[in-house]
Amino acid sequence: MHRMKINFVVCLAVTMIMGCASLKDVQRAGELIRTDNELESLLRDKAPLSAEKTEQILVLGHFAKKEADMLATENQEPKIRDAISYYRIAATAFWKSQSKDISSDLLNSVDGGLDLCRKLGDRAPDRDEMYLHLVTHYAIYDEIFRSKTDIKQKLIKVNFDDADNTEQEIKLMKIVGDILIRMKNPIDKMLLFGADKRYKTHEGMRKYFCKNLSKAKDNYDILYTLYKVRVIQYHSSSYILDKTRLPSLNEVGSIKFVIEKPQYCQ
Amino acid sequence: MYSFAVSANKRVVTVKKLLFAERRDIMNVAMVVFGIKSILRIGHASAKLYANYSRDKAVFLPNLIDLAQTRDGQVIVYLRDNIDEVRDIPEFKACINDAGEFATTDRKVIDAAYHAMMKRKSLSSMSDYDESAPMDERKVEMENKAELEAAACMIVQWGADEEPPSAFIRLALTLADIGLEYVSANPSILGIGGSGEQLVCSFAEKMATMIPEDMDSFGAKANIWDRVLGIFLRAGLSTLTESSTLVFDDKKVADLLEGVAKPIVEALPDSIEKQANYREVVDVIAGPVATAAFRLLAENTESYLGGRFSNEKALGVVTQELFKQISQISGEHNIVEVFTKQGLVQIYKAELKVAIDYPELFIGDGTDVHSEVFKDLLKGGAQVLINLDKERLKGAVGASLMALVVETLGENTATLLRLKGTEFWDKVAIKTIEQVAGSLSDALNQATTAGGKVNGALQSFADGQLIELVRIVIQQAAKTPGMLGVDKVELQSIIAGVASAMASDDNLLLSPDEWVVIAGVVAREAAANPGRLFGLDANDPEQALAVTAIKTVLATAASSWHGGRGQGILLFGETLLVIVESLLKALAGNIEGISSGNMAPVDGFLNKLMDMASQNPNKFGSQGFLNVFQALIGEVIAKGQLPDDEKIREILEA
Repeated sequence: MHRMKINFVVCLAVTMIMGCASLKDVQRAGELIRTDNELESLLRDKAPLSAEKTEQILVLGHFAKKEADMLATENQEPKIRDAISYYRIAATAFWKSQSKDISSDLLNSVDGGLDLCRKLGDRAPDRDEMYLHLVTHYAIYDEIFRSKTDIKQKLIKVNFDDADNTEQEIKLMKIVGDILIRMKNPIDKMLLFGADKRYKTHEGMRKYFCKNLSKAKDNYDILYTLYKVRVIQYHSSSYILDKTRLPSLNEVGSIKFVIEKPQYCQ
Repeated sequence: MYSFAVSANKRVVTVKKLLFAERRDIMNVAMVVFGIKSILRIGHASAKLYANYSRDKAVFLPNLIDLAQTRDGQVIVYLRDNIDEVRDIPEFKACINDAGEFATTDRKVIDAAYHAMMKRKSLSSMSDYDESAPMDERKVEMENKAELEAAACMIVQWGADEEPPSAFIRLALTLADIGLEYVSANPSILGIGGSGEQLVCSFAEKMATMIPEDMDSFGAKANIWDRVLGIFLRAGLSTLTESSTLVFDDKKVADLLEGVAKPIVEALPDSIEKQANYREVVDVIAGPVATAAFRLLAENTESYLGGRFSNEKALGVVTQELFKQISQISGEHNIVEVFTKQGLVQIYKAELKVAIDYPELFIGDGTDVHSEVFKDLLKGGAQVLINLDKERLKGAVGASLMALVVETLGENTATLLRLKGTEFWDKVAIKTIEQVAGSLSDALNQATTAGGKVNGALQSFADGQLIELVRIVIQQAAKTPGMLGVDKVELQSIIAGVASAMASDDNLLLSPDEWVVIAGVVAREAAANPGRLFGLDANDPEQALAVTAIKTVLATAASSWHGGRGQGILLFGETLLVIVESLLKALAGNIEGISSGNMAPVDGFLNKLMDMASQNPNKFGSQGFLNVFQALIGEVIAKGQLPDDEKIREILEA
């Protein structure tokens, strides 16, 4: 509690130092804080994503995008910076709504935000710009696993050393094979933007990026290993006569994607 | 901008370090209040930096989707990261191939490796700590490690380490934010030491005591507190702007927040559906509720809230009950639907005033809470409106009638309390609402044709005029001992009678405002003469003496109207109003001449005067007509005889 109070007073102290702006700036700032806070409270909620919650997140996303689009048209730096923040909120909301119909809204928000960052050049806000570079690929990654968060649990139950449920098991193996191929692209893109030199100086973003890259890498490695072990089992199984329905060991080896984490994540 | 932001952040970090270095508990509510004061005082100067803060503060960035964990997965990752150290350990060796890769599907082997891994992790984490360090330090170290793990998702714009905004900070920012809104518009109240600044600081101080240290227990209520607090502060500042001399002291503001704002938050329901409905209603109702509360406080800062310790408790009971009822809304016939949101605010305002003036109605002697008083009133009033078959009297009009009853009864609570004590009050109120709404509904039904057309004066009555008419009757009834009660029907008789008389005014000879005056006179005379103008049986109000008398005058006036104004036609408008008033007053005297309700003498007298007026237009103006009528009507209804011409001429020429 005390540290929270400190943050607040320090923020106020900073605000006392300089500046002159209008009442509208204050109202806009208050609105931005509230929008951020509302999204945070929705995303921190541990309850499963219900239809109502999805709707609330989407409403917030559309609101943020609308604000951003409006502010982006005004050629004033404070408003452009607010617009970038709103695009960040919108992109986050669209990503985490897990809704199927938001692809263009998400991409438009990211593009809108990054266009404005380019406009500001070196003065672009670090966190928001770095995040906007990542969020599309995070969303693609999440989309791959939508309705499949239990994929590892299902995969470990696959056993080709018996004659049970072979058809379903082969079907599941094909899904996993497809997932492994699809995971490569978003992870590649994450690594690409991980080369941004600002990760070396921005501690918060570095931790955020590394944490999620590790998560993606772990999931990839686990899925690949579990998949490969079962492909081997499949080809050596005496219960399966037709060995052509899953890839050969060589083919499995060729899809192996080695994820090298940047030095700063080690 | 970038360089400024970076330097600002450096300054933040420096100040933080200094504060921590000095004393960890240096911060307290007083400093938050100081911060808010500062931000208000620098007004515009702070706005730009506040905007910077909004963009640059730490925000929550979510992580990639979580996949369900498996033991196999954890072992795979562990082996990948530690293969060199563990490849010769039997449990791990059993599950890898020659290349050191995980290569088994055997559950027993995997489980053994998993247990070995957990054991090694546990030992490793223990060895990370300095065993000799005191327990407190080790605890702090563990907390720091956990914090580091969680910190990855709260990220500031420019790199400094920050924490998520707490509910406390959000509320404080809301206060500063709203204060700033008022800075430019009302510099006088938000200047140094101004009443507005004092109000904002009172809010901040009270806010600190309302938020528990355990933020988890605050939970979902944090957001609604933010909204409610903002609504109340705006209401308070708006009230201050209306009066430059007004000052709210801390204690009164604290009482008001405790008594009125807190119950709104406390009543927040659990289910999503109810919570969504509740928030919607709160958005509409909380503003007027807050305004009403501050206005009451402003109207009499000496005696309200603070003059009597029990005021705030009573306010709390009323507010809590209102929002508790609102929070239960679902399905048909809920109180929001029955009264409308605006109507509920009206009822609440009326009830609030009663609670302040007569807290004993709601909290008894201070040891007991009578929350059922307002609850029963709301439910009872709602039931009355639901049962009405006249749409016009439902919703906002019905709520206005109910508010009117509450308000009027409130003003005369002392009389009612003297009669039957506190338990009596709400029952009388519900009965009164039932009588008023029921009488009006019956009258409107009777005056309405099958085609939906309304006959008589009721057709020109706006809703507001209808309510005004009821007000004047109820006010008279409420201040007359014994006229209101659960077993009393006089009020019903009067309203039904007046409505019935109004229905007979097909030529609209009297305006709605004039009918309101007549209703007042009827009520006053009825109050002074129990059982005479209106019988004590409400079943046949049309036969009441007052009603028969008014209808007789109207019929006589209508017979001379002939479709419009003309020479010698005097009985309409103000003249007719005075005639009716005079007749009603005269009915309190000797009425031997019109016993059994025989109004022929009155009718004859009026006709005689009208004839004389039409024959002698130069002598009989409206004033002369009135002079003669007022002078002789008492005699006419006492003797049942018409006065002779000579007597009339004497009065005219006097």
